[in-house]
This record gives sequence, structure tokens and C-alpha cells, in this order.
Amino acid sequence: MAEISQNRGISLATAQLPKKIFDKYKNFIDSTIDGHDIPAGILEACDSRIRQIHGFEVDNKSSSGDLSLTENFLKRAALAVAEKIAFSVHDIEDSDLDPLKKAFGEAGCVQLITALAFFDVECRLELASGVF
Amino acid sequence: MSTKPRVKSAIEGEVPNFSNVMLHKRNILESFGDLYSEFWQKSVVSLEIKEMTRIRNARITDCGY
Repeated sequence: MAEISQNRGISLATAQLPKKIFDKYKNFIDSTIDGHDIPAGILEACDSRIRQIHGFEVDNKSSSGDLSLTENFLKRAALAVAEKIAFSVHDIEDSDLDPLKKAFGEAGCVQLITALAFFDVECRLELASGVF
Repeated sequence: MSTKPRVKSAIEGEVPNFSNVMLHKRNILESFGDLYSEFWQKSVVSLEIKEMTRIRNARITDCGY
């Protein structure tokens, strides 16, 4: 996860955001990915999927081979929400979030939804500004 | 689209809203508040334009805020 965080810092710095906003944004985004409620592998997979949906090239190094059945199930559930976050957020159903809430609790759900929403935001920032 | 909140309030007995739901992750809520308030500071982009775009965005995305 440190790698995700570091890459974000680089791309945001490239965008030449005002320092004050950059520092606060970095602090915020780090808080969403370093929350410990959601496994780093799940967040990384969701980040890659959202970037793919927006047309970015991603390293497909995320593997499910060493995950347990439960972790794989939760990863698929999180990916399903990630896929809807980008362009069909109104189609997210209670049933999409139920297994994630059961596994990660209310706090985990807040972390996951916030992280996914801002993975999407970052893609939009990159696409809209064209300077990342 | 859900017609009821999917995450409970972190404060028992309170109706869920953005702040008390985000309070489940206090560090995220605090860092978000810190960032968001920075966006609403006086800057090159006027507050009127920021508010106008916020409302337009909320309408387009069918957001109650």
C-alpha cells in the first residue's frame, strides 16, 4: 500500500497543486488507504479496476492465487462495488455491500467506500486536467 | 439506489448523516474536513462559482446535498 500512496504523491506533485491543498489531499488519501480495516490487496485491486474502467493502463500484478476462499470472495464483492462506483453508482444495491459490511463492519465499509470514491475522483482529476 | 442509509450512525440513536457515518473512521473524517475546508477558502476561484458548480454537480448526480 505504501507504493500506491507514493505513486499518488508523485502524480499529485506533478499536477502542481498548491502546496497547502497537496499536503491536505495527501493526508486525506493516505487516511483512506492506511485504515487497516480493508486488506491492502483488495484496495489495490479495486484501484486498478477503476483505473482500467477510466481507460488507464495498469500493471496487472494483482493476483488472487495466494488468497483464501473468503478473501477471494470479499475481493470479488469489493470489485463489484468498484465497477459501479465509476459510472453506475446509482445501481449499487444493498446486496452489493452486505457481505462487505458483514466482514469489515461499519468502519470498514466507510473506509472502503471512501477509498473507492476517491480512486474514481483521482481518475477524473487526471482526465479532466490532463496534467497528471 | 438505496432509499435508506446503508451504514449506521457512529453515534447511537442519531439518524445517519454524512458526518456521523464518517465518524466510524475518525481520522478519515478529520482529514477530509481539513481538505474540504481548504477548498472553500477564498481563492482564485470565487465562492459563488464553487457553490454553483457544487449545486450543479449534486443535481446531475441526484445527490441530496
